[in-house]
Amino acid sequence: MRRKSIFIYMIIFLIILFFICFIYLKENVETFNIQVKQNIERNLSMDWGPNEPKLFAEGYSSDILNLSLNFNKFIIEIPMHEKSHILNLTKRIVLDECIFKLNLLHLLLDLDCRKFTTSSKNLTFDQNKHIIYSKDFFFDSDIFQRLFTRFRFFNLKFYFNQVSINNDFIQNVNGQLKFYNDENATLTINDRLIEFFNRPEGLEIHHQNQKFYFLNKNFFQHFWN
Amino acid sequence: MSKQLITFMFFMIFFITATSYYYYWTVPANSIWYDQRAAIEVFQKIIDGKFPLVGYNHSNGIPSFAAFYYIISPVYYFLNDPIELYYFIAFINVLSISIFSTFLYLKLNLSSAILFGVYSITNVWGLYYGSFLWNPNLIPFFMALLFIFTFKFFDTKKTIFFHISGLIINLIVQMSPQAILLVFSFGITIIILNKLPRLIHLFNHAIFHFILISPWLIHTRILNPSSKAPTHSTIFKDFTAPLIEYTSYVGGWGLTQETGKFLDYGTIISPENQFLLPLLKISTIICILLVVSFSFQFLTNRFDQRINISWRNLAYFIGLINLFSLFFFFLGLRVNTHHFQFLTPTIALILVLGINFQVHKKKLSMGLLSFVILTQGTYSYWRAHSESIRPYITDIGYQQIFSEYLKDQCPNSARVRYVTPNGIHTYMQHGELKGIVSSCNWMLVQENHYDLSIIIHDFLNEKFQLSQNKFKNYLIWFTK
Repeated sequence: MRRKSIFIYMIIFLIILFFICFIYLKENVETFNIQVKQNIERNLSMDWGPNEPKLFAEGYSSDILNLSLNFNKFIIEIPMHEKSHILNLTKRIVLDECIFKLNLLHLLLDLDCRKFTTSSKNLTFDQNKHIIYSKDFFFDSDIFQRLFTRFRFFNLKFYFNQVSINNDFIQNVNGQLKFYNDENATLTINDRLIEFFNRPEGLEIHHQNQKFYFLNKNFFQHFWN
Repeated sequence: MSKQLITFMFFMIFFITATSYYYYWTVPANSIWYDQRAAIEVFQKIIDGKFPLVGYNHSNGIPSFAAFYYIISPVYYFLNDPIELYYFIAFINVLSISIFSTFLYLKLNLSSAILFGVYSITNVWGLYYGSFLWNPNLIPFFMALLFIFTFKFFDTKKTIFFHISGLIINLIVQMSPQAILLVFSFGITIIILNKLPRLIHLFNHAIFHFILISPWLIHTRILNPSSKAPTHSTIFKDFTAPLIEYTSYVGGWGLTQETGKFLDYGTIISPENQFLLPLLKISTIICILLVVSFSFQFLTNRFDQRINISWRNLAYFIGLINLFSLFFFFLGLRVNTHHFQFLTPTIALILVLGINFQVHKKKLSMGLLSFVILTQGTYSYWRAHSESIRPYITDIGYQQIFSEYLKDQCPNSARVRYVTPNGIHTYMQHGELKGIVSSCNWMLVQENHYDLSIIIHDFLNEKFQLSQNKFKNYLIWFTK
């Protein structure tokens, strides 16, 4: 009887604690917004290691009741990796005037930006086989795994008013990134479906009845050297 | 001799036959990794009288505790071939299941003993981790002893059993620091159940613990205060990983992968996996539902009050251990399947005691548990069969056999590489490189890998030519 009571009291305590937190949160929204902002500041200033991206933001604020963050500018700088690593495809991604919102109802991360800017190196493919192999870059499956752990439960929905890649402009781009498991993801851009398969051999991409392949480092070296 | 004893003896014969079959095929089909080689070096140091204070460094840069090495080094003195040590671990695993089954037979009843034994000899991860040498792989043995001595402590109230239980927990934590939550579950259990010994015993107990971990403390805090490799925070913590790994450990589905984090060469990819993986996932859900339901009953004391109080107390303890596994989730600690080894035989005991204490819907629970046992057993023993026909040439039990086969086929000189879905690997070479004829410049591939990988298919057909020879399930190709 005693153990049963302890357990029930613990549950009641947790429920009361939850309500107190909720009321406290509502009463102190401004303080929390400032704290979230400071938290972002701290995370942006932290050194995550030589292989991790560097993140910069300008003019950011949070709205905790709306579960959203606003950025005037958000910059992702990807550090130089070893030769032919797929992360060398681009060095810098800039997002202008963004609202990043967490939608708990639909389990969505909603990113709405005025502009997406990046520059990318050219890709060359070997088209002599039934699979189109990338000849410039190899794929590190850890990238897929890490993205999957971030988006395991939340799909990323995005809308960019303008996209600039190597100074080519596209208007009104919307899409969704969805991870099904640690081996399979889809990216929809303006209703065009791209499927990604994280294989031990590398990254397999299906797009418009064609199969593209970024081999892993080992196969890449043996195929093209 | 009673009828029950005869039944139990027959069960033990069946039990030993089944595990012998499993380990006969799976022990040689294990690889030997860095950790095993590093551990063997530490055993050798101990035998040479150097007595290191710690073992090799864990992947996070922290040196491992010394207990495991001092326990195994006397065995290494007699069994110094690594595969013999692998068989020894398998023997210890079988022994721990036998000891605990016998304990249940003597202290509870025949059906619980058999149920525990059957669950244990079909449990996917429990069997797998019992098939090779590694620090955390002795944990199930010590967990079985922990439950026996904790039960004795509850039953007899003798402080000596409290001390023994505490010291066993210390050894377990030394083998896998993530098992630290056993300290909390044990502590909270004895506080809530009013079983705290007198202060002087607690003081003595703390001194015992301090002595046991002092080698590690001396090494890391006094002799090498900066020995820890530099680490830094990760940009995002993966809070869900511990939950996923927990479900994998309980249901066994993670072993269907061939490679993954801390799992190089699990089960070689094959078409059967497509059928077995969903089956194991269904079985995982059922097993977790049973475990959660029984744990809830144990923690809220919702069962027949006529049941022996010592069993109820032990049930509370194991329910708490299972509940505390969730702490990894809340703390966002990096956890992999092998860190949950303290759940063997905890989960088995939760299921057995849960069914044993149940008054209503016993048949339903029994039916569900039978499904779990059947699916995990099917997978485990299919896996043993699969390993027997598809071993790797790098596996501990097949390296020598392959080497002899190679020397027989190419007595003068040869070069061997092999291809897996991860890439091309150089394996062995004998004789002069210049003297190797094309037919002895081999590229080996598992038939399954060749059939299921378009990349391997493209690579081999472009650069190599298939020979008529085969080794086990390997196709042998040579340069064009």
